[in-house]
Amino acid sequence: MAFAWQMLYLPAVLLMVVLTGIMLIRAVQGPGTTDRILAVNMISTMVICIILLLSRLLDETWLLDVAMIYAMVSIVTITMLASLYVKRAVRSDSSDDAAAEEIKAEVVTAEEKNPDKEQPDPAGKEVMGGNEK
Amino acid sequence: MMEYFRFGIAAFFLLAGLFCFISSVAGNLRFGFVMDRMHSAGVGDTLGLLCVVLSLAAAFGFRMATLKLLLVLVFLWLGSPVTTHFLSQVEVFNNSRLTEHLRDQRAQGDRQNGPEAQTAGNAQAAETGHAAGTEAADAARSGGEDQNDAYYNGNH
Repeated sequence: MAFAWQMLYLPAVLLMVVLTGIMLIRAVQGPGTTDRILAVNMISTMVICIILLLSRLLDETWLLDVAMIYAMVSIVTITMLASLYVKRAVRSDSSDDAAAEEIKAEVVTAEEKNPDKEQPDPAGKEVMGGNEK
Repeated sequence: MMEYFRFGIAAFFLLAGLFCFISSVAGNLRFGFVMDRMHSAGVGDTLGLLCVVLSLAAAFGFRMATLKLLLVLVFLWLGSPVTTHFLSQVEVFNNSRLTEHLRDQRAQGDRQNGPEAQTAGNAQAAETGHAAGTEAADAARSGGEDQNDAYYNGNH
């Protein structure tokens, strides 16, 4: 019967490992930051699943504690990555945003008054970088 | 006898969980837009993990290990929606053509399945006598893929 349990969980672990490797394709290819962070998130979740399955295969209960801690680590990691990659400049296309309208009007009036002088940057676009690639 | 029963439950839930993870990865690789990929990732985080944890709970039996398993599940279920929300914030704040892209997708869907497409399809079926609107649907579908590529090419 023990052999039956092993035959059940060993192919499952191998399949999950293959799926995790496939997610690396999206992590490398994904055209964009969000795709890559999402791929890392999915890899973390699948690694947690692998650790849980291994704890049954090897009959070690401390691996469940490892999985618990890794779950917490992955949640904090993705939160920090997301907060680092958010660009908090004013969006240049937000036509229905009142603050953006005000700032655009300010810049336009400043340009009309002094067309030759260097214009002030009330939105901090040069500092924050706007929506660069 | 009881062990066979536990084995049966564990096997059933394990296969269901693996199927959920396979569909989650397949969806991530096949969709062209990152919001759709996030939607597909959620399947693995919720249903896939639930099935795998239930299978392992049946395998362990009534021990302390089962409670630890359920605690892992609770942590991931509490944290995964938060991370998904943050990732969607990253996408919304980082690109300037999101509303444009969604509007185009909506227009494309209306063109494919809206009232004009259906009346045109009925007229075509009356004329030619076979299933309606296949060429138009193919053209619109390939137009959708071009939209996804343009969304990424202009943005990232």
